[in-house]
Amino acid sequence: MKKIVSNIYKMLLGFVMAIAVLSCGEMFNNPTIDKDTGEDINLLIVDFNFFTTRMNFKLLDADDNAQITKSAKIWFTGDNANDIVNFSGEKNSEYLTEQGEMELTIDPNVEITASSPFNYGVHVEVDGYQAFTQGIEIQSEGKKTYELQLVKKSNDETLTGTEDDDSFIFGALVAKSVSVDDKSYKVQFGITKADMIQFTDTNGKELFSSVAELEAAYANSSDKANFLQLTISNKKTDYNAGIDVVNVEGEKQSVLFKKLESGSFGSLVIDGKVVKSFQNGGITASCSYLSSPVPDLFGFTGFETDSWSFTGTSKWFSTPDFSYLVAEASLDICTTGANIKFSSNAQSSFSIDADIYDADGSLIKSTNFKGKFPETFTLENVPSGAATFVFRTNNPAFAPISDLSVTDLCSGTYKVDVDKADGYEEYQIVLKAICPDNPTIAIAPTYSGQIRIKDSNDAWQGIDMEGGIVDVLAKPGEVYQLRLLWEDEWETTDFSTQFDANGNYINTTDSKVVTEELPDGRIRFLIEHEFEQNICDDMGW
Amino acid sequence: MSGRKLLCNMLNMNWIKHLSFLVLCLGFSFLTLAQDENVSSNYRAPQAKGLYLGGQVSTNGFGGNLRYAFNDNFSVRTGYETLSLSVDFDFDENDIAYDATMDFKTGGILALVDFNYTKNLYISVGAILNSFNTEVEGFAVSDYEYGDIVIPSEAIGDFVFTAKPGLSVSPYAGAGYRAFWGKRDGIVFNFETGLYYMGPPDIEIEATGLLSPTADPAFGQAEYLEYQFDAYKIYPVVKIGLAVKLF
Repeated sequence: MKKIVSNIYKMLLGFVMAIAVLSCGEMFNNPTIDKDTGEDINLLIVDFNFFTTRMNFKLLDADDNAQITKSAKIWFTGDNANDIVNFSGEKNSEYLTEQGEMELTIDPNVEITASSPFNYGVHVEVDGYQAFTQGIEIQSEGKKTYELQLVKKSNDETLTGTEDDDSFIFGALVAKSVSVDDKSYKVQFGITKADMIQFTDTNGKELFSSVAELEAAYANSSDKANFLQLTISNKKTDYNAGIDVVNVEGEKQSVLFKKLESGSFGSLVIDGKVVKSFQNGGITASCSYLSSPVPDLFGFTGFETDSWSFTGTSKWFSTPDFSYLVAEASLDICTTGANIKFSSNAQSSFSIDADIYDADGSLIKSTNFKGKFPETFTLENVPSGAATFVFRTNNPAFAPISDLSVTDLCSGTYKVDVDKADGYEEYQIVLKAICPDNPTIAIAPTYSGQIRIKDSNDAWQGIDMEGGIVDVLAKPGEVYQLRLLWEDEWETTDFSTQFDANGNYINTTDSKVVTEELPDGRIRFLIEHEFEQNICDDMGW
Repeated sequence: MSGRKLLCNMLNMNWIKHLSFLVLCLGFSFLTLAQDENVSSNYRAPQAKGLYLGGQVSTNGFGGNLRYAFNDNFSVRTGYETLSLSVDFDFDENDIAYDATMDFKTGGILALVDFNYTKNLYISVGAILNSFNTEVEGFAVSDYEYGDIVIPSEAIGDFVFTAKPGLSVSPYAGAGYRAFWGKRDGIVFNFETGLYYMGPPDIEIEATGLLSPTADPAFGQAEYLEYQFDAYKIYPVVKIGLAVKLF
């Protein structure tokens, strides 16, 4: 019996040990090492969702609305300029980009409300374009897109002077003729004879010793028409209107702002001699409004950190390096305007551009609506009155959107129905970006992105990603490129919408993509993208 | 970033690994050493049959049990044991200070069959309706310096990680030793080691703020972690108990 018991014991012991070892064997592997890849596992996925306001700046050529992909410098001034940061939380004195756009954000500690708006001035410099300046006032948190329309540098324009009692007035053009009757305003330059005798030439010698000598020289001139030639550089008159910020009696206020004419001093030639210095003299510029009704604000303007100030209709320039800007502004602006509701038969993110025209057909502003159907946007800083939204056809995933007429930009709710274009299907993208040096953390950003068929000339479809997830419209059987702009570099990754006859995903890209079918029948692409390490370095990961 | 260390600590579960190994070693040593006792014991003692009421302390909690021995070889046992621990702790991760609480709960209702192959040695099989649940809840208590700005702690968010066994009813196998005292061998001390098969862990994640994508089902992070930790199916048990014979 003892032997039987001993045998049973040994069998049981062996059985228990075998079961235990088989069960526990894998427990001795390190679970924080990925079973499949042998690398550290990704434990956490984080988002930038602590940034509640995103600002996308697009640099456009005012002539054709084309994006300017030249080296550009962007910087900010004003009350809240120091609260603008990149997505690494860095406050930079200036930002450089060659991509024609930049996405920045705002320190989340700064409260933005209608009673505590966010004010700043944005400045842009691009070779070949006039320096750009605009005041911006934000009344609420959210996604903001600013189309900054840069104006190419213009040709010089030379005006000739004619005698007018004790002054010379510049009006007539030497090279071309433009009737001032076509314009609602007039800008005129004048120099008094008393000022003119102060002027010196390139040798520092006064041109005339007295008014009598000046008058005698003019009287004896064989070419009176060209006795005085004032050249204005970069003269520009055909600006679009837009929403800007003006300092009105010490209060910053959003206005409908239209630049009427700008230019800078080029040269002044008197009796064939180039003026080098005005000494104690100067040139007077004056402007007048010729039409009615007269705008709320009109005259010469200057930009002061984050807003424009109207300085009157006359301006005296005492040095030959001046520039000027004449503008008009309407104060009839509501800070909170109408609601525009976008809905669609498609489950998708969207980015739709629209130009808003007033009842006279004049452009009020261009705007961008970015979100996910259905979504309602409350207009900010718009003029009252009827208007028409003309939606641009720059998103190939959507059928052309009918114009939207609104009875008042400041009130009401208006609905925009958007249809998906033929041939497009609904998908979902789930993006997880990994830092090469720290795979334990992934980033699923709340960020703007763009997709389009790879190597195509299609317009980029703007998408609005939330926590790395975005619903998109794409054509089946194609390879797509997805890109995110990080400061001045695009982070790109590919995914394909190709499936075999059995519905199995065909990954024809180098990206790490897997798919799964959602309960509603859509396909979800799970994309794991490796960020450039410099981006992770920026974020401290 | 913020909860990485915490999640590792919670899910790495090295203590389970080491305890399992210890249990195996103890069991092996115990059974090996018991061979001599096996031979010398007073086998088939007539006093074994009866109903026993006892209490136990184990790695699966404190509790009581009722055992009925049909004869010298077989007995059935039922019982209830429970253990709840709540530990507050704080930690720093990437210069963010967190306050966290780990709530650990284990135990359950037992149903076991014991087979005595000597008077003192037995093996036990059965199941437990387990109440194992581990939850770590935490939140940032300091702001986060990110670049040139400071992210307020409330924007960093909070998190809850929960690990539950894949099986609510877990099979059990163990081996033990019983010592009998008293005139009728009416007082019984027992020492037992064993393993619950809990099944691979079910992990649930809830998070807000910057950690919120970690909890989003679209990323399948809970499933990914379950895959990584699916070897942790065993819960080791070391138990001592004392019982009295009712009749």
